[in-house]
Amino acid sequence: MPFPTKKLRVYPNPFTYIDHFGRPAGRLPFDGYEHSQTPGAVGASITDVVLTQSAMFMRVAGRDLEVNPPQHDHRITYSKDAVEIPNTAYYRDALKRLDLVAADKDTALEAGIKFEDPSKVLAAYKAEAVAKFNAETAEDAYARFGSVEPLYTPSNQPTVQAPAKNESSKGDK
Amino acid sequence: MAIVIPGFVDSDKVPGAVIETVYGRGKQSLGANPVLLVVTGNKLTAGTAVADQDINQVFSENDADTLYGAGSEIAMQCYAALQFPGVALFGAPVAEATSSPVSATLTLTVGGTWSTSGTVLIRLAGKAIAVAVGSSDPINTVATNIANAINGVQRLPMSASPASAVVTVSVLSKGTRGNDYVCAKDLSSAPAGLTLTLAGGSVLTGGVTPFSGGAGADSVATVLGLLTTQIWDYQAWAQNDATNAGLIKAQLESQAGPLLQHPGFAVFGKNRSTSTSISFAQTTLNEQLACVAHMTNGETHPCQMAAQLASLFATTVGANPNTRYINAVMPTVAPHSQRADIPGRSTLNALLNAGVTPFTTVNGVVQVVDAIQSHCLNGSSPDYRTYHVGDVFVPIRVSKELGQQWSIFSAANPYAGPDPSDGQQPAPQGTATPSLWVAEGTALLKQFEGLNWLQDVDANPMIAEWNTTSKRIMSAVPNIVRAQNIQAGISVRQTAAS
Repeated sequence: MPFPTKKLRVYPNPFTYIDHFGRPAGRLPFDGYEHSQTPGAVGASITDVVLTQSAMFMRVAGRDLEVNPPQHDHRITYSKDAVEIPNTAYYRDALKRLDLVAADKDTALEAGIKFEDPSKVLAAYKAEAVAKFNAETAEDAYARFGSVEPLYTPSNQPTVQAPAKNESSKGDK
Repeated sequence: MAIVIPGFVDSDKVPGAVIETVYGRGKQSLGANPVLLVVTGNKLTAGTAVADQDINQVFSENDADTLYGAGSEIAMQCYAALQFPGVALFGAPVAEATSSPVSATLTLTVGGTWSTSGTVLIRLAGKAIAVAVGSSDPINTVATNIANAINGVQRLPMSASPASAVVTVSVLSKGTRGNDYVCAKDLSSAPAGLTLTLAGGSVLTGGVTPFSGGAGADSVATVLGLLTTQIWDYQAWAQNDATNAGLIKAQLESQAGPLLQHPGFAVFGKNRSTSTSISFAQTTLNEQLACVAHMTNGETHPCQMAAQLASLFATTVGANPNTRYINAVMPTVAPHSQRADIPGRSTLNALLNAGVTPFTTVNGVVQVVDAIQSHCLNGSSPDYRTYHVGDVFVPIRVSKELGQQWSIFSAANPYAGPDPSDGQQPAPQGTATPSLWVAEGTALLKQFEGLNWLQDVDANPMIAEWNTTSKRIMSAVPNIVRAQNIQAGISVRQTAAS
């Protein structure tokens, strides 16, 4: 009988990346081998897809050929609650690098890191990320973009998966 | 088509052959054309080039030093790019941030007591620096020697100044990207009792410490304007922040359009967390004409990673735009110093599914795991119709080759018209028709199929039609890029003897 493996409880860290519109957009893809082979990220989903530029087609000899793909703007929604994931090396590394934040002491212990209040860890990370964004963009750039906060799902609700593209894409595929 | 030799007129009756030799006829091999690489980091005031204005060809490291100042960000890119012989390298320095840019810094503080001699090893920008320590050296002397050793390294992108026990190391090029440099120490050969404390940004794996305090945002806007005048096949951008990347992406797309025909390919570098690189590639870029090189906690600056990878592309696509880059060696990118930072299979899979080109360390050498472009999403759905960089490089090459073929075809056929209908007379000689052009283009495509650039040409034929409104031939050329031999499944099954 295999030893039971402890699960990890983690929060996503939206501030590992702030995008070109000043929006937190960080996300860590699933462990494709030991967790989920479906595309997606831990506690984060693309929930809003807006078509910003239609695909360019060329009609020649009765055939439509896509010349350029469409361009989309993506918004990410994060889980407000801790997410339970398998205890894998990939996720433990992510916890060490703060790509994910440990939600409890057991998880921190499994990852070999010191447990700290997740809200404080996220706040500190955010402060550093915003400072970096301002430094490489412009003074107070984050504020000028509206100090955009991450979109969170309501508590106890699963992270919303993006609907099928025909339903959600505000434009063509 | 009449053959005319100028001067050999009908009235010339002198026996014998009149021979003219004309050079440079026929189709030129585009593979022999130089593929241009441009790098865009900041320069120092010591360099002679003018930022946001000049685009200079760089033939050597000395050229880079003269034009941009030794150790400047753009000079560091040049050193990295010049590792591949034959690269046609140009520098287009972006001006440093105008509003009070600040150099990133890091301090090393010497402490403790010791009674034996030894060696302190530090690594800055991936370069190892050894400092001898005498058994009776005072702390301040050690600090001074460390600073002297740092300043003695040729073409290091930073300088050091000692003050008592503290050595402050400052990145030469000012701005926020200086924070991407790191410092590591190795005291295994140092005298027992000597301590060396690194202070900078948030400590990475194994105590490796990044620089901090670098501030100031430069803008690529002016240089982007300069690059619109011609094709810059490869662009290694030092500017890897979201705002500049958004501008670069927009320009790549507009310049690659059919009316401008300036297809360029941008290469960016990232050396921090997996999550940051993935989000950058997917959210800000998601672009076929761009690639993001990533090395978790890499000690070589991202601008150099980008320059070296772009140089590899630039020096290989001429001969074969469908080159396979798996395990390609990055000769001067410093290997991972921390085993924990070498990406595992799950991390590699996550990166490759998210449009990121990972670097890894194998036997102390940095290799490209696989070179892919950054487009990986269509809306919220994964989209890998374009995956390897070859899927981008081949169509670009085919379009250039067809463009050149068209010039020859057009010269030989100065007139154009529709294909004659059944029963009609064939088009007169010198008149291009859709089917003639398809035959010409298909012959070329079959050549490329033979070179392993394309596959399934017959099943995906070139098509053309006569546009009656604009009186021109319109054609479309599907390109199925030949699949590369990247993966295999092998099941070895021990079987009991019967």
